[in-house]
Amino acid sequence: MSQGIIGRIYDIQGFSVHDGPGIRTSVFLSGCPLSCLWCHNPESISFHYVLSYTSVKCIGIEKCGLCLSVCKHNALKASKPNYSPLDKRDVAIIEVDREKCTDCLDCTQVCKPKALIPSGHDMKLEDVMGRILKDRAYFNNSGGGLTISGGEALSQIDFTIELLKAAKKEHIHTCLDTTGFASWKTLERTLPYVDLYLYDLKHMDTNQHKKYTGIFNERILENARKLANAGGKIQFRFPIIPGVNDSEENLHATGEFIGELGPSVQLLQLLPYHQLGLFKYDKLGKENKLKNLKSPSDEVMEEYKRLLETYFTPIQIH
Amino acid sequence: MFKFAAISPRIQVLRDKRGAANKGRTILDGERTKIYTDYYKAHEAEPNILKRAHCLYEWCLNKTILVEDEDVFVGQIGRTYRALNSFVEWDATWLHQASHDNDEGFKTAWQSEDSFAYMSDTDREIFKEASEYWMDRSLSARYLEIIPPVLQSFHGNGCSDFFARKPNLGGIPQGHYSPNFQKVIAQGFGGIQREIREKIDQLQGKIYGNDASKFMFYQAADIVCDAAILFAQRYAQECARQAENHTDPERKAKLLEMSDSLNWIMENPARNTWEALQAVALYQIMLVADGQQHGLSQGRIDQYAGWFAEAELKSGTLTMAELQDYSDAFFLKLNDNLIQVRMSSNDMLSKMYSGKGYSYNTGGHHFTIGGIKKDGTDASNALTRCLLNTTGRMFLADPSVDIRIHKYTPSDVWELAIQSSKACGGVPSFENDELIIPMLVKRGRTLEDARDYCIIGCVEPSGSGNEWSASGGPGSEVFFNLLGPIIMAIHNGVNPLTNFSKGLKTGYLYDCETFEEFKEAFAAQLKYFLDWQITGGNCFELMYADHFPSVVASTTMDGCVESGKDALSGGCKYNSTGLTGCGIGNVADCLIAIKKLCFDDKIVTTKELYDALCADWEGYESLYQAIVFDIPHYGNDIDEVDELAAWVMKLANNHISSATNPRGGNWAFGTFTMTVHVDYGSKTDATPDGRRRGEPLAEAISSRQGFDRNGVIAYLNTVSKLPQSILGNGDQMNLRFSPSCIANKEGVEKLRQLITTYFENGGMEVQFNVVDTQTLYQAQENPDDYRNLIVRIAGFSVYFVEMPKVLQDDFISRTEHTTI
Repeated sequence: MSQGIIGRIYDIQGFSVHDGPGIRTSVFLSGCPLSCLWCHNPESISFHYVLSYTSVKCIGIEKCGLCLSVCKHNALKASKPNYSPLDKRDVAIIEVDREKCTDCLDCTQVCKPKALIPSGHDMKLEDVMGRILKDRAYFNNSGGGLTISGGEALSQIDFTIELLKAAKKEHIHTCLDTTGFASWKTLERTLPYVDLYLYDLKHMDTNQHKKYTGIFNERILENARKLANAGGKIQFRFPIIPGVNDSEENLHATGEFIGELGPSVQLLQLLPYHQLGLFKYDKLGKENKLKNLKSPSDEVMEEYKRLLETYFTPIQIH
Repeated sequence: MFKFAAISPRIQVLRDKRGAANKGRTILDGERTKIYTDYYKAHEAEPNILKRAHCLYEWCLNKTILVEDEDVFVGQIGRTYRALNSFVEWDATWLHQASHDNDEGFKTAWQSEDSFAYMSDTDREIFKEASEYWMDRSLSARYLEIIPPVLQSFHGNGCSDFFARKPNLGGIPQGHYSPNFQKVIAQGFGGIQREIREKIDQLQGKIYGNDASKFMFYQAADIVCDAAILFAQRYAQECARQAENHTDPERKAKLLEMSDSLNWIMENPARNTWEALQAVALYQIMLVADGQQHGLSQGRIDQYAGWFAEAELKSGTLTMAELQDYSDAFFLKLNDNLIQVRMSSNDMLSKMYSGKGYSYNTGGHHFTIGGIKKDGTDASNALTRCLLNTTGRMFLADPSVDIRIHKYTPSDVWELAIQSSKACGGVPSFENDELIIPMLVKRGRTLEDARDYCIIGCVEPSGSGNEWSASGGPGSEVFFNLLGPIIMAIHNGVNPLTNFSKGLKTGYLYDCETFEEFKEAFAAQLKYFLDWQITGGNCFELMYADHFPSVVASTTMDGCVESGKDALSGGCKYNSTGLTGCGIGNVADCLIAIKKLCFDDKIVTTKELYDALCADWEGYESLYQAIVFDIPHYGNDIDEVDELAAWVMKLANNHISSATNPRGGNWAFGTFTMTVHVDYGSKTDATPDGRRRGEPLAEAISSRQGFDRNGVIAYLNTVSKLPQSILGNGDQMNLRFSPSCIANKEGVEKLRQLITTYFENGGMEVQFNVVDTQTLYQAQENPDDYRNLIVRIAGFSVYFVEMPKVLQDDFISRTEHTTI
């Protein structure tokens, strides 16, 4: 179909080593119907581009300050001068007042150092494919390929389908990283083009699921069953969030669910909660409600793995 | 989770004892200096080649012999362990300064807790006397008398520090070669001596033509053979003496066994693994004493010693655990052989080397393991694996290790190598057989010799025991600042920082009407200054060969005994001289900035850009930002700029590799920078790539620090476009990963695939650090908690907290590759 079809993309990352087999290039699409409290890509949740600000990239209002003059909403102001190693003296940089900011993104047009950027940008399919093909040599040796992730890729189903088709035409292995939250019809459309689904399971109790992600889980579980029945190859991803979904009860329930799905399930990946995404909340001026949470220890992860192995193997940590 | 097995109790004891020796301090030891100086004083008229051989003999005869109960291998360079040698014949300036300081200053510098090394009062007197003798006689003192005056007028050109080392030029032993350890093990000096004496007999009373110099060489080599045999026998005697009254029967038996072996080896072929390794250690120490030890590389130790191990494991006379102990103990032995490098000639480098702590960076030792054999089959064996276990669990910044990789490198060797590199800051680094072997064949080696290559110094591929590679330069300077010719092309042959004005008059930047004109000006300046560096190097080599023939190296190296010529005078089978270009990433960025801004997009005129450079960007903030943020940069897989880098590399390489050296070989071009990119940067004016005056250059073939913004694969794609297969003097590719990238087995496998694919795409070498930026900042704040943190800088690794701050910052500014 149309090479010109446009996707809302917040990042493309090469040497992506945690998102499927081999060395992969991950295309992260913007917009997600879930809002998990532990999300490590908070900039991908919104369907609209929001303002992302990386303060260490700001070179200071003295040298630049262009954004101050374009902001119509009075949302940008100078900070107190702080020591800058580059200039070897105190420099005032920009501060964003999130109360006033409307995410009009005018400031991102003038910010050369890319301290103020939109949380994503529109890209043509052909440009996305062009970028992916540059990494191709690295896919071939490692059994890697393309991973479409998000946000929720199914929310941009037309673009996702076209991107998958384009990749398959180039004989590139494809993974679709999904929350499973979409209509079955939508998910079903991807079946011919996806080699492996990376399918998130966040909580088996629907009320708890709602509490932590904003939605109930029935549709997600139902889609997983249908996908397994339809022969889609699945790698489940279970983020272990201490105190949220690592109760014995939930571990058993998760194991039971996966154990019953049959040979379509290839692997269960346990992902220990990490705080690496926390800095991204600062960029967006958001607060992370789990910020004081500690990562589970290696020993605890091993213990969970052993428990889950009574239902299903193989299981991989990370 | 992968974990290296703990080291055995006896190695732990050895390690602790070495670490605690001299209260953990390095000793600046005067024994060698005294023996050599006394000999020189008493025999001033003797030809240099005989003098060098006799000095070594005197040293072997008179040096302190030390054997301690924990010792697995014997041999030490000084009177004690952890002693640091000084090479006063090369340069006496700093020792003169240090020993003649007033008492208070001396005590603070050399006898306080913070001393870089400890110097006793006795040694101070030795150095005082010796440095007085050598002040006017050392190589660096004489250099200025000998070199053509025109070379002296090239100080401050900004392209080559060769001309800026006054008065310390020549203070660095040339070294950078791999001696023929194989011959020592397989033939022994007894066998070599028989060969030499036959040659002497043939020449007796029949010296025609130039045979007199051969005759002299053979006489010197004969003395060296005696010295080597004597050296081992003195240790044998000491072992026997200690055995006599030893109370521990086990040690007593061991000492007798060692004594027996030491009486045998050096003269005769080694009979087992221990003897092979011990012979290598003793020969190594003799080479260090002789002085040509800078960049002295052990070569393929798993080959020349490994087959003993294989045979012994098979016959049951050796267990894997014993072999592992040998491997660990051998590392500790070499780690103990310290050298002193450039105390004063290059401030940045001497700071780099002068770490305090258990391991002392020698800038010397380098092992090469793995790869293919001469017959093309996989070369890895039990010793290869033991050595990788050693590097992964000993946390020694030295010796450095390279692993040669080929299509059929076994997967367990791969895994050990990656795990070790992850645990021990980039040791080993990875070299690509498939690229290097054909390159060496193109450069004139036989296929067998090319397959048997090893790595010298930092990353330089060279022959094993058959090549005087001088890959660290001719004993003076190897580094060439590629931004120098850019400055010259901008300022009509003038370096504005020093007012040096002897560059070619190619006009000013603002005289250029097309981009091609500027490129031509740059190319002309580049060739012109490369020629000057080669000229200086060739003049220097001649003098060097006369002053410091290395008979002890020549005695074993292929070609020398056959031809009757010292290695430094062209006796070896193969001969080359190295040169390395710094800042290729900056040059590419400079060229693209000029092209885009002044000619393609016409955002500024060449005059405006010129003015901005003269003002060091002061008052040109928006232009500066346009360059830093809008112009494409090298390192991001953007063809237009990457092609310019490839053009520069080809240009420099073609010019250099066509130049010849006095030994009948060719010069070779490489791109490693060690830490010189920081030093050179501090002496380089503002450049069009948006570099401010004094900022570091990009290191090796890397992009400018932090300018690779598209991730590791884009970065690798960029450097894959460079014609690396022509770089005879090697190249270097540094990567830094966050630990989360390689957390589990899958991560290790993916890293392997990354390296494999990079190599398939034309990469020569890769080395990586697995450490996140946060950890590095913490190490800066609490150095005591991070004493063991090793990072790879260039061809060698160092303890991070022991680096000077400016180098730490440079390391941190290199992009960390991560995926979250």
